[in-house]
Amino acid sequence: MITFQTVANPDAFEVPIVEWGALSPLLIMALAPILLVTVSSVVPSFKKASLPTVYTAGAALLSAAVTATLWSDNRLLMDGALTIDRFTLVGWLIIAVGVAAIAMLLDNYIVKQGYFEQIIEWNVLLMISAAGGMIVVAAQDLIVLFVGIEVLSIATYVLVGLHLRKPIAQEAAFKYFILGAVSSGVFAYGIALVYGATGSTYLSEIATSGRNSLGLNPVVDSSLMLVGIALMLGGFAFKVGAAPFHSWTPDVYQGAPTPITAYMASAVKVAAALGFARVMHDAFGEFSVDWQPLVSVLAVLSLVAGSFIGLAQKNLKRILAYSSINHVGFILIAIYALDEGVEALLFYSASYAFTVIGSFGILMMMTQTEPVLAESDDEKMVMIGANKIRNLESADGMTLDDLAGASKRHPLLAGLFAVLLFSQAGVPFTVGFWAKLQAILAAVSVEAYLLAGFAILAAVVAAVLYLRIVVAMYLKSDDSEPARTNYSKLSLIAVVACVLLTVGLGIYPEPLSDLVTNAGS
Amino acid sequence: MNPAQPINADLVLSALVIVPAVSALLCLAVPRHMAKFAALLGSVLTGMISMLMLANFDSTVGVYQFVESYDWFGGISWSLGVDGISLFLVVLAGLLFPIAIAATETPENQGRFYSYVMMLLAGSMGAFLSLDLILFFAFFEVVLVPMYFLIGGWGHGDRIYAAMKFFLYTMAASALMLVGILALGVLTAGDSGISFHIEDIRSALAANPLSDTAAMLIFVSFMIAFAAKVPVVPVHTWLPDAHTEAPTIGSVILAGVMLKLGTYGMIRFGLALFPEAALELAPVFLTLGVVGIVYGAAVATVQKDLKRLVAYSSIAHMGFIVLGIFAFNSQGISGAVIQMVNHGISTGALFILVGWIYARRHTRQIAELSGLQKAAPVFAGVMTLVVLSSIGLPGLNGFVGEFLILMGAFNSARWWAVVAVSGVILAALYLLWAYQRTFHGSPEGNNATMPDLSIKERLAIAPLLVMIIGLGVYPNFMLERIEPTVDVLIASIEEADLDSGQFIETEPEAPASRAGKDGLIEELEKAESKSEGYGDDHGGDS
Repeated sequence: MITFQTVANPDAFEVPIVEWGALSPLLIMALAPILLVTVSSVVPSFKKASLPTVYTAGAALLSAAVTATLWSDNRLLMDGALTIDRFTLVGWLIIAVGVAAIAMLLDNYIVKQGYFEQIIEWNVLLMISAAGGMIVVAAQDLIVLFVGIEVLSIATYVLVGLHLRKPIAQEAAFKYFILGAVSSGVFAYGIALVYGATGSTYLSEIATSGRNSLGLNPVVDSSLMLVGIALMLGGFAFKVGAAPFHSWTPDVYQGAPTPITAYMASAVKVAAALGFARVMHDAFGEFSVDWQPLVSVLAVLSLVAGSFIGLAQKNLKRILAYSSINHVGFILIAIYALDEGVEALLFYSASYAFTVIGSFGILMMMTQTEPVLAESDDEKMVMIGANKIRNLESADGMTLDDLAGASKRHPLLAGLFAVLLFSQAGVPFTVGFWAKLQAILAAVSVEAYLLAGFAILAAVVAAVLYLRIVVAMYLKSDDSEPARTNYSKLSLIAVVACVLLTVGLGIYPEPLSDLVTNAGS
Repeated sequence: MNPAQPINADLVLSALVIVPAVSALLCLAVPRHMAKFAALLGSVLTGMISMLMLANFDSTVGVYQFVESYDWFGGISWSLGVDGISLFLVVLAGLLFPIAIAATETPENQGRFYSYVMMLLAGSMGAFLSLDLILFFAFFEVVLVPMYFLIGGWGHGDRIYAAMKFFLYTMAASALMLVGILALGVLTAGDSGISFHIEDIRSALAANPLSDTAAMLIFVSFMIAFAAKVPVVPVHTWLPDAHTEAPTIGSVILAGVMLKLGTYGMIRFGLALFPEAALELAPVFLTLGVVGIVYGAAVATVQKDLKRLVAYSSIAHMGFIVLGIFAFNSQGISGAVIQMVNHGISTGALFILVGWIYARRHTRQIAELSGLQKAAPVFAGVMTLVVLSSIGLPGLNGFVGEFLILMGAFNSARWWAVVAVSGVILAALYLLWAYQRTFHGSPEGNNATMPDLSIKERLAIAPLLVMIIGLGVYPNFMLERIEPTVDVLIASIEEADLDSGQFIETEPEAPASRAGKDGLIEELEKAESKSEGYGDDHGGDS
């Protein structure tokens, strides 16, 4: 038990020092929901207008602001269970800002869907899930990582199914839960095997135990290790939605309430991807020869599945789901490139997060022009009538054809949407271009020219996905009149902020690029 | 004379990009009916800045002028500069846009329409001026978006299909170029880190050449992108659709400015960075150029639609430019640059005139047009001049470029030149025949009442006619500014040729040898006598 002694002496157990200051962004995110649920049950009037939304967004932004104050920190916390470095901080920033934006989108959604009574629950679950995500990003220990993933996932399962009247959401939640639980099991089994091989769950110790110094039986332990890595890889691949572990993505993305889809596609995916990268780089760096080919295969399959299968889709949320699979391909390329790709990974994750939040947000706002009555008697009726379901949550069933003439009905939203779509397609002077460029540069730097070429060609195919949406909005003739807009100002602010970031960082990417430099782990 | 240091030197080129970009935003911001005015103002201002730049351009040196360079991020810099190769393309863009805006009708939704037009101007300017490869790529790609919207939103017929095809074709072709550029940056990165500035890359390549395979692969990835943009024949199919369905202004800009991005890129980033690879592949591109000339002309001859005819004539003219570039001598490349400008002028004018015919007659079918000369004599006169310019009649602008290209090609790639000459004759055939069918004879039906050019239209087209005659009579104005730069380029190609000279001696049929040895501007006789010896070998190649 040599390895344990460096961590904690079993004979004289000491409580590790808790560095409250460095943990505060995480603590804010974890405690804010508890405070919210307490206060709102004691003071019912708290549940007024947009107050819970403002509270959630405020807490998330506070967490982001505190994260920013820790900028130059680089140390282990909690006896080495968590680590604070640039990598963690960028991840926290993405998640926290993402949660703020999602809360602002939920503000619109919850009211329009007649769930205002439950607004506290939505926000609480959102923040708890995000706290789990922040643990995943910072985890330096496999058990802590696992806890983080579970907190992140379980809260998300509930969020997906929280739209109680919608069978498709229930189905999505169930599907997500079953598959997610299985993948968690696979992941935990991987942890067990790695522990068996190395005798440690700390990433740094797994790394130093090395390929050829694995205890008594190198052959057995090495194969244990490899199987463990493979299982963990599978678990992560499921969480980030990489092909061939992607099959849940389109269904769940379509069925989930649209702001929650945005949350899953952004913060959840980014948290999982960063945790993935951290484990692969920090713990299994020496085994990169073994896992890199697997990651490149996942990347190629994701690129292909995301672009080509996406082309066959009509439903908008499914199209965006496949597009997010395609983005995962690029993220995996950055992970593949090891140290060369860390900056690309963070840059891509950050830019991808706000682009995708904006996209789903606009999709949601476009469909909600008619107020929906929240009378409890009516709710069941609304569910049965096919037309009314479309009015209630039309983003789920919205197809390309439904978008025809959107540029006339929602000139502002269509314009914003087009910008975000072009960014996702990688058109220059949007942030998406620089993100793709960095990912491909990372691949080229490690001489993965084929992967780079493949990625860029898949991006061209994926561009068709986005262009079809633009065509539907702008080029399909339709005599639509400007529709009466009826969306929350907060949601509009969130979406406009996403677009401004997309264009602003597209023209001048230096700030984001600065943010992610020197993040090598 | 100290024109290399003009006033506000470090702002001139950025202004050429920023002014149209700002006016693109302005077009959206001002009230609907003011958009055209805003676009006109922005483009005229841009044109004036480009003239200012032309006036201060130092024609005695072949280096980048008005250079400005700011770090952008991650080794990418906002580096702009102009030399003899890009100078007139910039001026062309600066002049063609205001003319095109003035000469075409104001469409619906003019705010967005003119905003896209001005974005195109900003993007084209940026692409011609960029000295940083990533910056170039960014501009090269970004122009697709406004053009896509122009074709898709305001085009005719099957406009969505044409727009999509245009966008995807060019995007797919240029995708690998991005990998090529990044690989080039990584492979030439020195101690000071990665840089995508063309001069940094060039000096790094000179100090530390890439392996032949790497150079060849990167060169090919560049050339695929440029070839699709030009377009060179096997990858040209987007062009007839895009041109035919595009609104007039889109066609004018596409033919006049955007196609040149391809040939410009071939010279600037293909030849200049990879002379050896370019020499090696020269026969391929010479052949493709010649095929383009003959194919474009032949297909143009049988077109029933006037606009489609002009579109195919573009393929033929662009074939000449490719031929000139890969002739690898001063005449050829200078001629190619001049031809780029002249093609912009004459084809731009042709598209404007065809657009006017369509606006009057609501058809572009040659069969439905006849005797327009009787109904609209001034129109016919203008048309005659433009058609003759496009054919390449001596004394008009079109002649200069084609002549130089053919001369250059004749020196270094004789048999290709011989075949290419047929393109000149075919051009006369299809254009004059089309003119004859539409303007001669007696007007039938509505043709008899076609209105002649209005004062406004005459004013709009007049500058192009002045250029057609002026540049035809006094081509030296362009040539003396282009040549110093081309000479520098040729010298660097010579050098590359000498580097690999040893084995070329033993393989006389390699195209490299003939191209380089007689490359410089020298007396024709000398060049001719040198290439004579290789003439028979060419016969085998072609």
